[in-house]
Amino acid sequence: MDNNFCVSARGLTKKYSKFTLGALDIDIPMGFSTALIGANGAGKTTLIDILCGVIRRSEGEVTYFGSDKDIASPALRERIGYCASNAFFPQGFTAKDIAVSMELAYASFDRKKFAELCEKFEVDSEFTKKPRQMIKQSDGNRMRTCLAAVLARNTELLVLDEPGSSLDPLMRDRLCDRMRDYLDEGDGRKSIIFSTHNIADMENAADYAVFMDRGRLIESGFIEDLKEKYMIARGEAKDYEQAKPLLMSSSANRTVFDGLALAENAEKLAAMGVDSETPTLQQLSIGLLKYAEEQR
Amino acid sequence: MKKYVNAFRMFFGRCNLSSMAAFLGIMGVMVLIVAALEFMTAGGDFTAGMTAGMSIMLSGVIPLTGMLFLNALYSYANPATPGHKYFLSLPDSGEQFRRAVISANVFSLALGLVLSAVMCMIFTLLHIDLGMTYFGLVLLFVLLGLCNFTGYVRNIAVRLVVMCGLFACTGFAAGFFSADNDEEGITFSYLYEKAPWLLFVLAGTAVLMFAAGLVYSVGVSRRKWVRE
Repeated sequence: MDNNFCVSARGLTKKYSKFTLGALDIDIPMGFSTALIGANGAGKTTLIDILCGVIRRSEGEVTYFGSDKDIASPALRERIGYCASNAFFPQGFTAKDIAVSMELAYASFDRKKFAELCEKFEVDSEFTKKPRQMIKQSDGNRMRTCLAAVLARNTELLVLDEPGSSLDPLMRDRLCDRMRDYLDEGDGRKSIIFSTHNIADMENAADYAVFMDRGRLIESGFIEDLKEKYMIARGEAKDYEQAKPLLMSSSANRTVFDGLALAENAEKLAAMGVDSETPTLQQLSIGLLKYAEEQR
Repeated sequence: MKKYVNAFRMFFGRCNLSSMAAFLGIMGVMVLIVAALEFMTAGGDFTAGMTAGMSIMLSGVIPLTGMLFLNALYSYANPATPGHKYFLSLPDSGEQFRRAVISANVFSLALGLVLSAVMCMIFTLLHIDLGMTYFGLVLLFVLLGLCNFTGYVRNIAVRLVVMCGLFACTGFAAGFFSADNDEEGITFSYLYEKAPWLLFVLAGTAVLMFAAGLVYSVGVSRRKWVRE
């Protein structure tokens, strides 16, 4: 198994009565931030929960940091910071309870740093007079508290499920900065895996992307490489029918069309008078997910 | 010992230990007030009237306080409960949960026993029959045992039906122990005088049920904790 991967999965499968994840073969590079992208029900949360040992896999094998395979091992869990999408902490917990609980659970939890991060994220810290319970806080503030708690630990891998979904755009931007700082602190040894629907807002935080559809992996790679592999084709409606066979997914109106295509077809499309441009992560995501949907 | 207290604090934070102390403090203040009233009115009709039915009402609190911790703890084994994923992601979470189950049982029992002792003091001062208090204590053991047996049942409706069934049965049985029962009936005092062995059997069965529930729960806790 390659040591340059923070997570490698082989044949990873989780079977539910109405949904099956996998079998997935997936390699997440170490030292980078990886975005899990997919529609609702794609299996992102299931994958994250398996990676963090919250649910058991049905089949397959997962290797962490090149050698560790047992997610039940307390030493491995110390190295992984996990934050679920909502209601991560008990509703009755205040920042003080979280600090008490996490300090007992994790050797690397820094209580002082937690308080500092809470103040930086503008939520109740354990030193706030009468800190509010989780149930009395907004979704956004709950997520901020969760992020402060997970960032207050000295971990090598952060696994965040929809960290930006309940945050305002300004806070999402701050989160991207924090994620960048986390990676920089690690000097190539710290990695992040996060799922998101706010692709445009979180693009700055992602180096690598994994696209999923209905429990399957449809594409993965470094975002810069994917932007070279694919292109956005844009042309006039009269050329649409001719260009369509070369487009993976597309949409058209009476005057123009655009769609995702493989960059290797750029010359053929140019010959048809179709313009090409580098896709943003959002365009890439929509194009690939649409393509996967059409291929079902 | 410290490991078990820490596991309990891991699941309940700091709030429950302090609220436990506050609760016992309030009960202590109550004893003082009742003692003061008793002293001022010299056991007159005022205190007698004020405290009528107190035994029945307050004795029901004994088993309920015991259930609070256990119900909260077992709810974390349910994926629908906020906090479930947090606790499951902790290092050695199965072992921590097992320890928390043991300490929650001990704390529940300790709280129930202290509460019973405080009530016995109050009721003795007020010359109230202690039958219902003893019955509440027996019920504490039974309910703790039942909580341990049904803790991993995910379907809340099933748990509620079991609990309601038990409450109905015990409520019916409680009638025998109430001092308000017909004077000719089978009161606690009557049983204590005529057939003390029956009380021992009742208490023994309750303790046995508690022990069996605890052993069962501790035995299956690691397996039941991560089920999916």
